Parts: sequence; structure tokens; C-alpha cells
Amino acid sequence: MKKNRLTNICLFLLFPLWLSAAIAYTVETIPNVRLTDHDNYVSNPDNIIHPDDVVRINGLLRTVEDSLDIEIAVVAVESIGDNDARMFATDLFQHWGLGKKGKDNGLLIQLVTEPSQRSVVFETGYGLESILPDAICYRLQQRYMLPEFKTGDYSAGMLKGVTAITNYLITSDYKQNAMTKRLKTNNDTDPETFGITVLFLLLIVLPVIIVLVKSFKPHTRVCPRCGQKTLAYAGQQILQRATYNREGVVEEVWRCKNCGYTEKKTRTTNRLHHGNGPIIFGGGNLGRGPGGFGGFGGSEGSWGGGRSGGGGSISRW
Amino acid sequence: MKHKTLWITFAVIVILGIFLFSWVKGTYNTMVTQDENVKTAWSQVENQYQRRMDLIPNLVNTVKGYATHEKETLESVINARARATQTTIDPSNLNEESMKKFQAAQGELSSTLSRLMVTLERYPELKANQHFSELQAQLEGTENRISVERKRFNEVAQTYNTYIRSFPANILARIFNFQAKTYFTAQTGAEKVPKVEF
Repeated sequence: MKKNRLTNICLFLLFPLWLSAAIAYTVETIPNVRLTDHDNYVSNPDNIIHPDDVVRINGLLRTVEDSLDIEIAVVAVESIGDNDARMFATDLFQHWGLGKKGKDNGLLIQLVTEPSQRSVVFETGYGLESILPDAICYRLQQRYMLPEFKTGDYSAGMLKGVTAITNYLITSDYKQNAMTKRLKTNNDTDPETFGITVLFLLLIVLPVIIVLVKSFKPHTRVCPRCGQKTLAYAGQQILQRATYNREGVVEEVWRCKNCGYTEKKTRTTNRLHHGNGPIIFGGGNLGRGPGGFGGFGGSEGSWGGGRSGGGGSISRW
Repeated sequence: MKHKTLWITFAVIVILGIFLFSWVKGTYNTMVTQDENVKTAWSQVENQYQRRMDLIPNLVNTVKGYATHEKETLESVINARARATQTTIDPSNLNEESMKKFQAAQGELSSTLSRLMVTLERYPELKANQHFSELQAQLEGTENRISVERKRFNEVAQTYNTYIRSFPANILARIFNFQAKTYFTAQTGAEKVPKVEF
């Protein structure tokens, strides 16, 4: 009897803990994994999606971005508190700025598993509304995701859904459209604008360039032998490379164009700093470093800064 | 000596004139830009409302065959749509009165639509119809778009209103007759997205 009571008390004490087990995420607290790992499209803080499936989904979404330029993010969380799932997706989309700026070709796939909010939302950027209209989003959700979600296999459902979207987008004429559009705009430059551009280049840009080039030209000094102002900088030679422990030595060569007089000057260079190391030698981070993508993206670094107008669909079950 | 003071006065007047001109130019152009932003945001709002109205005939036709007992509800939707179609606002005339009319008409359409959706709950055959469920998804998406664009409109209008009402821009706003824009207000019924659980 007493023991029973003790268990009850224990359970009672543990109850609030159990309640708070599922963290209610806000738009700001959902980890934006793309910030640290450029190849990671899946924000999966509650481990709803199996790691193997995360790898597969990332592979698919990488393909979509490489071939169609479309940025798709997958988010799977247990709870978003009392927020409306649909509005939450719109806000999250805007906060992260999915899709390329100007093209607005982003897609957010958001899964919430907590019973009161249980839903999957597709949020399409402005630029994807024509290729992924709400009805298509809804159909893809109903056909490929819900059967698995209803059995509780969120990971499989998400993989199937992402596969279906990938196939749909790749077989669609999205890319063709984008290419024909680009061709059209290329041909659209009318001769008048062209003429003005050329004139502008000739009158303004050219003098500026000439001045710049002139100012960058190695300056000349007075030659001590022949007295002409023709002693010019001819280059440099590294005598001793700078290391972490000691300074380097560089020999600068000046040669007179008039009489051929040569002058050599040695100069020490600063020793290397440890902080510079990885940048100079690449450190495996070349090209695709975090944030080295979409740079001017508006909100949060690593996505392209696209916008959504609230299109897409939601499915509950 | 007299010449010198004359020159100084002249120079001061010219400098003041340049300052005044650049201030008026800057402020005026900012007001114009922001006014245009509000108009753009407004046309987005109207586009989404139009999208909803375009969906309704399709919806009504689909529902007609199944929900034979809902003639009255359907008719009220059709009538509300007709009234909403007539109520449009010229974006240069976004004042309180026209806004009120617009919101009332669209609000009525919203509430008749959600009433229709609730009654349709009773028709399982209709709910099993793929065409209907996709239409419903489109309608839901449109309602979401409307609320997004409304929110954006309010944000842009707020930026504009704040600008034209703050000193010293308010002086120029009065001279050039830039008027404050009216916000969208949450309306009972208008905010509610028709939802159907599956």
C-alpha cells in the first residue's frame, strides 16, 4: 500500500517532466542546420527521421538544387506549441528565406507530430506556385505521405514524399521554362539601349578604367646612374619563406629602363599567424564553406533569401 | 563693403535654397516610393481575394451534384461572391470608407463560405471525391495567402503612415496631400479559415 503511494508520488513528480519532454519550437529556435552544413537540408532536432533516411533525403534535395536551382528544406519536430501549423510554416519560410532571391523558388516541408498539431505542410515560394499549385501539393501529401504517417512511420513517409516531389519537379517543365525565359530576356535588349550602354561605357567607364590602370602601374623613381625617371619596379623574389617561427625575406628588384641599372632591396615579411593557416591552405573548406552560398540572402545566411506568399497545402490525419 | 554683404546674403540664400530643395526632393520621393509600395501590396491583396472568387464557381459546380439539400447555402455563397466582385477599391483611394465596404463584402463571402464548408461535413461521398478535396486544399491555400498578403499590406502601410506622420515629413505630406492609409482589421468570421478534418 505504502509502496503504491510512493510510486504515485513519484509519478506525480515526474508528470511535469514528461509533459515538457517535447520542446515547443518557435520559428527562431528551430535549428537552421544549413547554416553550419551546406549539404544538410533536414532539420531533425527530435530525431523523428531515421539517420539513414536523412542521408537519402539530403541526396535527393542536393540533386534538386544542383539541377533545378530549387531550395527545399525539410523540418520535422514534435511540437510547435499553440501556433497554427500553416502560419508557422509561412513564418519559418520567411525567417529562413528559402529559395533564391528574386526567383523565390523555395519549398518548405514541415512535419509536426504532436497529436493536437499533427500535420504536414508544404509551403511554396512565389516562384514555385505555378509548378506546384496547392492541389498538386495536397495530392502528393495524400498519396505518398499520409499512408505512412497514419501508421506512425514518419521517417518512411517523409522519404516517400520527398522522393515523389523530387520526381515531380525533375520531370516537370520547370527548368525548360526557366531556360526559355532566360533566352528571351537575352534577346530582348533593343538596339537603342545597347547603343546607350556602349556610349556610356566609352564616355564614363573607359576613362575611369584608364585612370585606375595608370594609378596601378608600378611607379618609377629617378635612376641614380643616368638621372632619368625610369627606374621601375621589376618584381620580387622570395629568398626565405615566412613560417610560424621566423620572418621571411623578400628581394625586390628595380631596373632602369633607360640604362639598365639594377637595384636590389631586401625586405622582411611578417611571420605567419596560426589563425591564418586554414584560410591559406584551404582546410577542406574551400568553396563550400558555411555561408558561402547565396551571400546576399537577406535573413539567415545560408538560404537564398526567397519569399513565400503563403501558398501550398496542409494535410492532417 | 556694401558689395560684400550683398554677396554674402546672396550666397546664404543660394545655400539655403539648395538645402531646402534637396530636403523637399528627398522627402517627397520617399513618400512617393512608399505610396507605390502600399499600392503594390494592395494589388497583391486584391489578387488573392480574386483568386478565391475564381475558385467559387468551380466549387459550387462540384458541390451541386452531391449536396442537393444545400441549395440555400450555395445560393448565399453565390450572392456574396457577386457582391464582393462589385466591391473593388482603386488603390489611390484607400481610405477608411472604401476599406470598410471592401472588408464587409469579402467578410460576408468568408462567412458564407465557412458555413457552406461546415454543412458539407455531412456528405461523406463528397469528402471522398478527389476533385473536391483538392479544390478544398486550393481554397485553404488561398485563405492562407490572403492572410499573408493582408499582413504584408498592413506592414507596408504602417511604414508609410509612420513616415508621413512624423516630423518634419508631415509638413510636406500635408502640402502635397499624402493621406494616411487604412489598415486591415481582424473581422469576426473573415479571419476564420474554413477547415475540414479528414
